[in-house]
Amino acid sequence: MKRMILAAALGVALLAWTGAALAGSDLEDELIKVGQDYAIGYTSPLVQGFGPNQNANLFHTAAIPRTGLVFGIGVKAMGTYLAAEDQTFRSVKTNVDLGEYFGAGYAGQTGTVVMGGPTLFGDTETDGTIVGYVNGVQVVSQSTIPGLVDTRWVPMATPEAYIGGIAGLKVIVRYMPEINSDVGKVKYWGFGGQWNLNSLAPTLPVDVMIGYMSQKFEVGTLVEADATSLHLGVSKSLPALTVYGGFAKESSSMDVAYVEESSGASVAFSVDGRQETRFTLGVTFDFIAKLNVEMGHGDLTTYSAGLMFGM
Amino acid sequence: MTTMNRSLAALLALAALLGLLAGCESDSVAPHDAIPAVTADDAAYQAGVVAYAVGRVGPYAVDAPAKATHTFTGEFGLTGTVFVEFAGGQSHMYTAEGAPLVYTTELGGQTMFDIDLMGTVNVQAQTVTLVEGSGGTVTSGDYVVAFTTTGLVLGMGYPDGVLMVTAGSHSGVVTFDGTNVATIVVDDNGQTWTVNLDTGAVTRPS
Repeated sequence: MKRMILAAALGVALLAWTGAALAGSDLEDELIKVGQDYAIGYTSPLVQGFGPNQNANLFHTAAIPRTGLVFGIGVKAMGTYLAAEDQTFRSVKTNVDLGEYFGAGYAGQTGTVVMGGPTLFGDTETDGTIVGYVNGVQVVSQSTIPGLVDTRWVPMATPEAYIGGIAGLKVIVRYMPEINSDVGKVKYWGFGGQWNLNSLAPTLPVDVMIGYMSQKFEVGTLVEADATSLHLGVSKSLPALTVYGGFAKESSSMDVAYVEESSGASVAFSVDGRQETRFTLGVTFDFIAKLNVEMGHGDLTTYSAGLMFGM
Repeated sequence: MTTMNRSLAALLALAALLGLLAGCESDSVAPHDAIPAVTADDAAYQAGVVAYAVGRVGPYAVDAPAKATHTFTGEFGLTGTVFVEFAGGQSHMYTAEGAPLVYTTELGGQTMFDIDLMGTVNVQAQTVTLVEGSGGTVTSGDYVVAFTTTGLVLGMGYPDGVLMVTAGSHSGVVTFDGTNVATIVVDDNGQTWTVNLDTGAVTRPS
């Protein structure tokens, strides 16, 4: 029975993984139609929301024994819930050469460019626009691309395993095998460690832990997303459940690279994640397996759940 | 308190806390840049487009039977239909709601004109003196310009009189003198732009 549940959980993760590869393909199909400045605005919710996902659900308890093996394997699912206004964007560039945005026919015309419309997570039925103004008068307007998925959730799922129990240490690994997609190999891995601090203060009524995690996600040459987290966790174990919370200093970045279809120009940009800190609150139910749900809040709010089997 | 009760109490407290935190919305992370404010120079150029279009449609206010439509199919950069009605010595020129006259620039940009011009016809002179306050709006992408007339006279030639334009926080005065060049003053700042009514070209103050 346990094996069946575990297989199902990992199957969900693999499905999400395959979905990520397909989504990467769809994303590239849209991005190649627009230039860099448009792409930065269009992808901004993904760029900003993916890092907080990676850094979510890094622990479900602060308790790590000093002696005695603990291990687990399972799956984590995360979703960052975007602000409603992030389903659209508007980016304005002033005093620019319109030729950079509309081709050689517009070169030499200095003006304002207004790019806007649905983001990647916006309306899939409405195209965006890129409009050029000279002296406050519209001189060119082009339609661009629609949203890719109409949702406020930036989703992610990953398998995770941990082992520890020596001197209050635990090692965590997140890993998915490489799969081939239209946009190249999709890879994901992460590793980290956690150390229980109660050996320093054995009389504390709660468990305290510090940890570090580093993760990398790649979709061919299209996307590379890195995330790191330095976190402090506190938990209190009660019969059949553990209540936990924490604070983290974190960072994330996403590199995007593709070739623009119309001009053949290589487009590459890197954006640092805005979220640098988060507070976490969660609860772990320990029956047959460890099922935890948590909420993390920093600049963005991320919800996550995990199902881990082990001891 | 039993162990079970303590667990239940902790769970309820956590649920309450999560409920409070659930009100924590994510900050917006996508760019939402403001449309740049209209400058005095922008206002002058927008007024120039208005002047050009009024100059182009003006003759139709007097050269028509009792009820007529004039459809532009690209001449002077204009497309769309204006309606003209004559009754009781009055002329009424307008565009249908939702069907503005469209001015397309050489570079392909479009500016929409919603016009509603009313005036008194002088049959002998073949002119229409517009009623003070009649006018319309011009939409150029994200910018909307309102214009009204102050005794503007439309005829078979170039207009004569004054057009008031409001663009953003700026007020402009377009003065026609019956020639193919009109002058534009914005915010009464001492600078004068000119617009060629044949080409629509606006010239900055030297």
